[in-house]
Amino acid sequence: MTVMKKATISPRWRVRLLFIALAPCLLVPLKLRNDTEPYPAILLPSGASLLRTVGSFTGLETECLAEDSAGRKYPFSVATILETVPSDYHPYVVEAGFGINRDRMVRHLPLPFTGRRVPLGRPRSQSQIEATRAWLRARLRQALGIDAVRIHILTYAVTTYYSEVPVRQQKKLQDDTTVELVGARR
Amino acid sequence: MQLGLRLDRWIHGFLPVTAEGLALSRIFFAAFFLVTGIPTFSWVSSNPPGFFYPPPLSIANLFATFPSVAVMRALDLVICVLLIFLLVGFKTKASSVLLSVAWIFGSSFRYSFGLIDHTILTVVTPAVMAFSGWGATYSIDAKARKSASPLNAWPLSFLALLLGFGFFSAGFPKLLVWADFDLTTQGARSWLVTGWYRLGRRKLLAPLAMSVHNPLVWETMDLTAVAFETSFIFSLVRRGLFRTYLFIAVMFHLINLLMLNIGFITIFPLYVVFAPWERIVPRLRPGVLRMADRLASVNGLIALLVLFLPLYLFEDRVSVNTAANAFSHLGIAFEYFRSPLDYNWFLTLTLHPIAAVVALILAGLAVPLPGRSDRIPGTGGKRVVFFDGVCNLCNGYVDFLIQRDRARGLMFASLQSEAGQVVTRAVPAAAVPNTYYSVFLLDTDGQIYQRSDAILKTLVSLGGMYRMLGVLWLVPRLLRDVVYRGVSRWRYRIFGTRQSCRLPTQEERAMFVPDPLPT
Repeated sequence: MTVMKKATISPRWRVRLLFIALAPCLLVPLKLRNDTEPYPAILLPSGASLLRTVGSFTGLETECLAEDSAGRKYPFSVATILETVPSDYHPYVVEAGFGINRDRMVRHLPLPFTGRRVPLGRPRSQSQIEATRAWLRARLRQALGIDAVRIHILTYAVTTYYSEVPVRQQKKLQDDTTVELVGARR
Repeated sequence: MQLGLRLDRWIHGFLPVTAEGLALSRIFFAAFFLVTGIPTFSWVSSNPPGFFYPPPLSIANLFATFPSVAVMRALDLVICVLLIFLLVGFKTKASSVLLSVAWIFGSSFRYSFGLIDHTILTVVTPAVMAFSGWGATYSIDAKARKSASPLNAWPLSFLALLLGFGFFSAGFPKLLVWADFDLTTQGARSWLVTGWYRLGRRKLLAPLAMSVHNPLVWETMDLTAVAFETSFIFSLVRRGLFRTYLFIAVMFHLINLLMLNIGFITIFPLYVVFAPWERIVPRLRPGVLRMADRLASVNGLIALLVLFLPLYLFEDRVSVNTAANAFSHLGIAFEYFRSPLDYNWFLTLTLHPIAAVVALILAGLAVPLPGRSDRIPGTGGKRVVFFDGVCNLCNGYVDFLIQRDRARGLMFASLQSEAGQVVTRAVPAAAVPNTYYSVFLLDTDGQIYQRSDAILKTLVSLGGMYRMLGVLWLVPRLLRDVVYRGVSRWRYRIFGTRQSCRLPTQEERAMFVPDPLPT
């Protein structure tokens, strides 16, 4: 009687294959990061940005104001409003217009070699937007005691002229982004 | 050699494994998070759906918003229990894999605020190490098992590859942008200025760094960072080089903390896995190993569960920063007593310097030659200093030692003598004059040390004020040996040689190993 030997991969080859299969798992996310960083992926922070410095350099500072229906503006600390979020993430939440100005749909996954981009995640529904606005209004009411209708995110460009003696600093408003908390969708 | 065999040799032999070393790295890994901060995720559920912005590939994309508090609280508890299982080595393999899976699941939601914290290497460590046999000893599993479980070295090579690639992924984009050799554009300074204005990172040496305007300094910093990060992966060719890179990495993180206020303490449990356990374990006191063994028991498991699970009753009462980054007894105590120092910052400020000191100690550990020597007749078990008998510098060194060795704990023998064969058998090149080998030390335990290890061990053994030279153990061996090699190489030219080997005087004779040796 002939016994058919079952074809199996030897343990040695299994480990070799594991190491070989690792290559695409590492390289694909690295390529994807050019657009947007995936998770989970074996990536460490790169932040390959450059600062131009010819006698001066510029950094961006953000300030937030809440506006009530009478048009009065109240500065507030982002840390107070976003105490449910770890402080390192605050600038990112602010950048996304407190989750109202930027939709989740902007995250697209480029398919390698096809030129196509696949949207990941679902766009926010109107009810989710309203829930976020209500959450922010409640927080602002709690912190400032006002019924806020919009938030202004002011971005200042702070330029340090270090080639001058004494070193001079100039702060200039660069951008005013509005986040509507009532009324129109965006 | 065939490519496959070379690959196998690297995969299974790049880093040595011992059951004790693996077990201690497992215990350290779990204890690190249990003591400093257990990953928690229930806080994400208190945020509105607008903040939900999951990264691509993340499992969070399957959800419309953050999961309910009940789901995330259950996840927090599971992670805590799995960390305790890992610590005591209960169902170690399954616990390790599940821990990574649960951690990745929770992190997928944590990183849905627009920023990824790059803790992934630490998060996947338990899943990879699950296959190393890190539960083979000091574990409940080991006590329940009758036969010893096998050890695998490939998970360490796998993790080393991931770490090398991780650094490459950080360095490669910088290489394309930062290495522009343009003095008007600076990368590291961009991190500093962005952190300063955007994130309020203005502590430690950041103000000093902000006042440095010399473009050459910044350009050098950019190129150094790029060179280190991109070349890390090439260190995988040699174990010693890899460990040197690990040492540099610890210092690199410390500099980042001081200058940019960026802490990276979560990477340390991964580095500990790569520690030279084969050198550390023999130096540990038996009490430490006994304690590890006692902890890894059913009683230990129950005690830890009783100690940690009630912690979660306070989960709602601590701030998000504490709960999210450092949920532990210590963190809660910091909040409860309203400490003026932020707990996360306290951890970062404490652990980075500790890691740097530990890295220095490990980098400076003396490494004996393989094997042990038999006792040399006529030495009475004393330390024996072997020296190049024709070298003037070495003879001067011997005179120096003889004058200061009041306790008469040292004996001397030239490498050219019969006793010198103890060394030249282990290092044949030392038998030939005019090589790098000038001084060796045979310690009382039969181990032979060479180069700067031999000199430092000998000097410290003189006692008195020479013990203070022990601080030089904090200088990495690699650097010490560079100095040693430099001096050793030029010693004949600078200090000259003798025509014949040194013969001890009548007074010195008792301090020299007899040549020929007594039978």
